[in-house]
Amino acid sequence: MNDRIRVLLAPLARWEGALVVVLAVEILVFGALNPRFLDPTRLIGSTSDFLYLGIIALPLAIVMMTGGIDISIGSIVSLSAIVTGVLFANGTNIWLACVGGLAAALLAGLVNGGAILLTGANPMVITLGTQFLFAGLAVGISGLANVSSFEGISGLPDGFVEIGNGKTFGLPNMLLIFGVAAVVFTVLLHGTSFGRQARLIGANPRAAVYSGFSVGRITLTGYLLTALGAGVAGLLLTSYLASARADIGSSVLMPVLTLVVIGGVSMFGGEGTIGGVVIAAFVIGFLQQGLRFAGMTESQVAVATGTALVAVASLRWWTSHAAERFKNQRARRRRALLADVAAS
Amino acid sequence: MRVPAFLRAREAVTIIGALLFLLVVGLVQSRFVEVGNLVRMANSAVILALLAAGVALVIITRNIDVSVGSTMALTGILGGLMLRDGVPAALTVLAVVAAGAALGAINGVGVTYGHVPSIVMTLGTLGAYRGISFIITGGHSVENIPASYKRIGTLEVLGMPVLVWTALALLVALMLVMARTRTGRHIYATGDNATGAHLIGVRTNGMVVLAFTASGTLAAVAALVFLAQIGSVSNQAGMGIEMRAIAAAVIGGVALSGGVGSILGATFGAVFITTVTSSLSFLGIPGFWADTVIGAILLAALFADSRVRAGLERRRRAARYRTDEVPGDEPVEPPPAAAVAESTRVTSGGAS
Repeated sequence: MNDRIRVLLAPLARWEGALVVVLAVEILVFGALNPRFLDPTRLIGSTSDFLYLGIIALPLAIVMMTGGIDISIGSIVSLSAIVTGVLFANGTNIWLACVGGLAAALLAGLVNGGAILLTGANPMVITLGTQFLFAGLAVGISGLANVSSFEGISGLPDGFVEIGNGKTFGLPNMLLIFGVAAVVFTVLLHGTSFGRQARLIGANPRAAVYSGFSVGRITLTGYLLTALGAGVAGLLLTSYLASARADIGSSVLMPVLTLVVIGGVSMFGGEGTIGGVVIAAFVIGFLQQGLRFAGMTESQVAVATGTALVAVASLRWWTSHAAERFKNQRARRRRALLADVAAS
Repeated sequence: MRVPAFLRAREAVTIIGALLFLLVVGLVQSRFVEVGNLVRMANSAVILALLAAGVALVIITRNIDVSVGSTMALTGILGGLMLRDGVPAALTVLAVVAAGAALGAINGVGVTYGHVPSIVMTLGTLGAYRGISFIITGGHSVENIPASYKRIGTLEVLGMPVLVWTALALLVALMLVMARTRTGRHIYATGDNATGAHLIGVRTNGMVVLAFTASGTLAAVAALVFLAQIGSVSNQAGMGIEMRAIAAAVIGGVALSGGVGSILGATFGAVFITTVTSSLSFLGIPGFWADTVIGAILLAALFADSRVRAGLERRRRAARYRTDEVPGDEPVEPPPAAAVAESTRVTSGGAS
C-alpha cells in the first residue's frame, strides 16, 4: 500500500511534476474566480502573448546547462527586429529581410560565443558588454535609417503580420512554432551526444575537457542557438505587434531568465530539463494572464510575479533540503532497526 | 623589469584610460576639458557612481545586484511624496535612507537565509520594487518638490556642487571601510572563499546581508541626489541603470568571480562611462551610439584584461621554473654555513 502511494507520488517529487501540479491548480483557481478564463479558445489564444519568451528560453536553457548565461538576448531581439525592419523599409522583400534579421542575430551569437572562448572571461560580463553593444547597434541602425524611435517601422505586409497573429489547424501559429521548438530542443538536449556533452560541461568542466570532445564547439553552438532563438523571437514579436522597433526587446531579458530558472535549470550548470522550461512557460504565462483576468493591474502583476519567482526559488532549495533530511532520518532509523535485529 | 605597485592594481587601467580619454577629447575639443564642463560631468556622474559602488560591494561578496535601479525609483518616489506633502527634509532623508537599507536587506536575507541565487532574488525584486512604485503613484510622476530641497542640487562649495562633495565623502569613507577595517576584509574574504572565511570565523551570511543593505542604502542616496538634481521623479527613473552600474564596476576592475576589486575602481568606472557618453556630443557623434560605445569599451577592457592576465601567468610560471633550477646549482661550490642561512632567508623572502 505504502509502496503504491510512493510510486504514484514519485513523479511529483521531481521538479517538473511539481510544476504540472502548480499549473493545474493555477488554472482551476483562476477558472473558479472567473469562469471565462477557462474558455478554451481564449485560453489557447492568449498563449501568443507570452510564448515568444519560451522560444528564447529553450536554447538559453542549454547555455545555462553548460554553466554559461546570455544577458544580451533582449538586445539580440531588438537587433534582429530592427535589421529586418530597416531592410524592408529600404525596399527588400520581407522574407529576404527576415533572413537578414536572422543573420544579424547569428552574427551576434558568434560575437558572444567567440568573445567568451577567446577571453575565457565570465560569460555574464561578456554578454553584459554585448548587451550594450547590440542594443546600441539596434538604436544606431534605426537612427541612421531615420526611424522614429517610438513609432518604429510599420506598414509590414499582411503575409508577415499573419505569422504572429494567424492560426493554422485552429491553433495559433505562435503555439505551433513553440511546440516545434520544444520538440527539437528536447531531442537535442536529451537524445543526442551534443546534449549530454553540454550537460557535462556545466556539471564538471574539467571532466569535459579531459573527455576529449571539443568544449569550445559545444559552447559556441549553445550561444549561436540562443541568438537564433532570440532572432526568431524578434521576428515573431515584430510580426505580432506589426511594427519593428529598436527597443522591442528591452523588456525580454528578465521574463526569459525567470522562465528558465522556474523551469528548474540550475544557474550553476549541469541541471535541468527542456520539459521543465516548457511547463514553466505556461505556468508563468497563465499566472500573469490569470492575475490580469482577476482584475489586477499590470504593476500588481509585476509585483506578484517577482514575489512568486523569489518564493519558488527559495522553496526549491528548502524542499530539497527537507527531502534530504527526511531520507537521512529514514536511513538512520532503518539502520538502528537492523542493529536491533542483529543484537537480539 | 618591475612594474610600479600602483600600475599593477586592476584599477590603474581604468584610471589611466579615463585620464587619457579626457586628454584626447580635450585635444580635439578644448571646451570639453574646461572647468565648467568637468564640474557638469562630475555632477552627472554622481548617481551612477553611488549605484556602482553599491553594486561593487555586492559583487565583491560574489553575488550580484540587478535591483538597484528599481530600489532607486521606489525610494525616490517615497522621498518625493514625503517632500511634496511637507515633511521636513531632514526627516525625509532619514526615511529614504532607512527604506533603501530595508529594501537592500530584503535582497540580502533572501540570498543568504532563503537560499535564492542572487541573480534570481534581485531579478524578482527588480520587478517587484518597480511594480510597487507604480502602484504607489498610479503611474503618474511625482512633481512639486519644494524649491528649498531642489536648491541643494544647485548649491556649490569651492566651485563644485555640494552633492558631488557629499557623494565623494561617502565614497571615500566606504573606500576606507573596505581597505582598512576588519569588516572590509571580511567582505573580501566572503567573496574570495566563502567556506574558508566561514571556517575562520567570518560571519559570511552577515557580510552578504551587509553588502546588500549597503547597496540598497547607496541606491537610496542616489535617489536623494536624483530628487535634488531633477526636481521630480517618475516610475521610469533609473530603468536599465542597473546594467550600467554593473558595467561601471566591471570596467573599474571588480571581478564577477568575487573577492577582487575596489570602490575606487567602481567609482572611476562610473566616471569613465559618464565621460565617454557626454564626450560623444563634443566629438560630433549622435547620442544614440552611446550604448554601442559603452559595450565596445567594456569588451575591449575584458580583452585587455584577459591578455594581461595570460601574460602575467606566463611570466609567473617562467619565474617559478627559474627558481626551481637554483637548488641544483648550489652543491657545486659548498658555501659557508652563514652564507647558506643568508641565502635561504633571501630566497624564502623572495618567494613569499
